[in-house]
Amino acid sequence: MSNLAGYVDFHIHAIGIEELVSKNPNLLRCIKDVFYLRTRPQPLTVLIKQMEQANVEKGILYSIDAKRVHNCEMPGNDLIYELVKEHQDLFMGIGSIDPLSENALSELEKLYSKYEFLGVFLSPAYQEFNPLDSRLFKVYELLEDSRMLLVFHTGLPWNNKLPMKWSNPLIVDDIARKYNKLIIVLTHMGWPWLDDLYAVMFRNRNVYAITSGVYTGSPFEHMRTILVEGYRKRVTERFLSERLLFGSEFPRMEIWKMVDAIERLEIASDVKMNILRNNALRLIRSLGR
Amino acid sequence: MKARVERVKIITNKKTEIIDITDLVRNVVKRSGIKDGLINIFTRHTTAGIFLNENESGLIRDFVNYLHKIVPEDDNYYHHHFFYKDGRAAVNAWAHIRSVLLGHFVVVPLKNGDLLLGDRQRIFFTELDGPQSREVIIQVLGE
Repeated sequence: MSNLAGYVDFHIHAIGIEELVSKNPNLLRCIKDVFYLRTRPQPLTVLIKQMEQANVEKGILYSIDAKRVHNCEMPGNDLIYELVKEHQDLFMGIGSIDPLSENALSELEKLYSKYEFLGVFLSPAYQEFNPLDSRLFKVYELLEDSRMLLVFHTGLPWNNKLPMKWSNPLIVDDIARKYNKLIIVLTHMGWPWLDDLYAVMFRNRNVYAITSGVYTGSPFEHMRTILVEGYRKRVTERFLSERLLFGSEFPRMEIWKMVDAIERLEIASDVKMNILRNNALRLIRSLGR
Repeated sequence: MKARVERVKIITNKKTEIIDITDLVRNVVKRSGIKDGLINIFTRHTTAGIFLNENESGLIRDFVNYLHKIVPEDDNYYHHHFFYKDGRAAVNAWAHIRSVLLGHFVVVPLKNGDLLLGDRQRIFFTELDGPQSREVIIQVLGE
C-alpha cells in the first residue's frame, strides 16, 4: 500500500457486475428492488477501466447482508473475497453481517480471520436495525478489539421503501463515545444532515466520513455544496482535512466524475490529496494492513 | 431480399473515445454473404454516437476537443437531478447532447461485397460517457 501513487476509492459497491450476477441470479432482483439501481450490469473489466480512467489504484469493495429483511446478499462476502483474491493489486474488501443475527459474532470473526477484510458495512436502512440496540454492543466490542473498521450507511436512502429514521449521523455519537477506539466511517457525508455529521466528527476523533453520494446536482455541484460553499470550506480545510475519505459509490456514480469533482474544488491542494488518497492510506496502515 | 443482423459488443476505455469500426463492419458483411444492398450501423445508446469521417489522429483529437468545447460538462443542465427510474443521479446531459449532434446511425451502400465509402471515409463509434460495455447493431440488407 505504501507504494501507491494513485487514489483510493473507499466506497465501491461490488454489484451490478455481470460476472457476479451470473453467479448469483437473485442479485439482479436485489440490485433493482432493494439497492434500487436500474441500470444494466457491466462486466468487471468496466469497473477496472473506470478506476484506471480516474487514476484510482485501490478500490474498497462492499457487500450488504440484507438477507433477513429482503432475502438479499449484495453480492455476498464470498464473492467479494473472490474478487479481492483475484485482483489483490486493485481491491480490498469490507464485508457485511446481519448484526441482529445470533451468528453475528462468528460471522464477524470470519470477516477478519478468513477473508481478511478491512471491516464491516452495516446499513440501518437496508438491514432495518437501530444502531443503539443493545444487542449490537457485542458487535461493536469485537470490532474495536479486532481493529476492524465499522462503516455505517448514513445519509438519505434513495429507495423510499427503506426506513430513514436511523440514517442521521447523530445516532452514531453515543457509539463513538462509548467505543472510542473503534474507527467508525460514515458514508455519503450523512447528507442531508451535514451539520449533524460535523457535530459527531468534531466531538469524536474516531469518526471519519466518505464523500460518496450525489444528491443536489452534478458531482461537481454536489461536492461544492458539501465541501466548499458557505462555511464548509473552512470546516473541510481546518477541521476535517485528515478524516475525509474519497468514495464514488460506483455503480451509483461513475468513478472519474467523482474524482474530477474533488480535483476541481476550490480547496487547498494538500487537502484534496488527503481526501483522494492520503487519509485512506493512513487509515488502512493504522489497522495493520 | 436477404437480411442479417449482428449485435457487436464493444468495451470502451475512456470517457470520450472515438473508435474506428469500419473493419468490424466489413467482417459482418463478409459473414452475411450479401453482396449488394445497404448496411445500417446503429447504436441504441443515448450517450454514444455513430458517424462517418476521416481517420486522422489530429482530427480525432479535434473531434473530441470540439465536442467538449461546444457542449461543456459544466452548465446548468435541467437533466442533472435524481432519476427515480434509474435509481441514481443523472449527471450526463452533455453526453446526451453530444450524442444528438453526432447521430445514432449511418447507412452505407454495399456493391459487389464492398462498402461504397469515400476514399477517406471510415465508420466511427463514439463513446461519450465511458468506460462502458456498449453494443453496435450492424444490419446488412440486400442480395
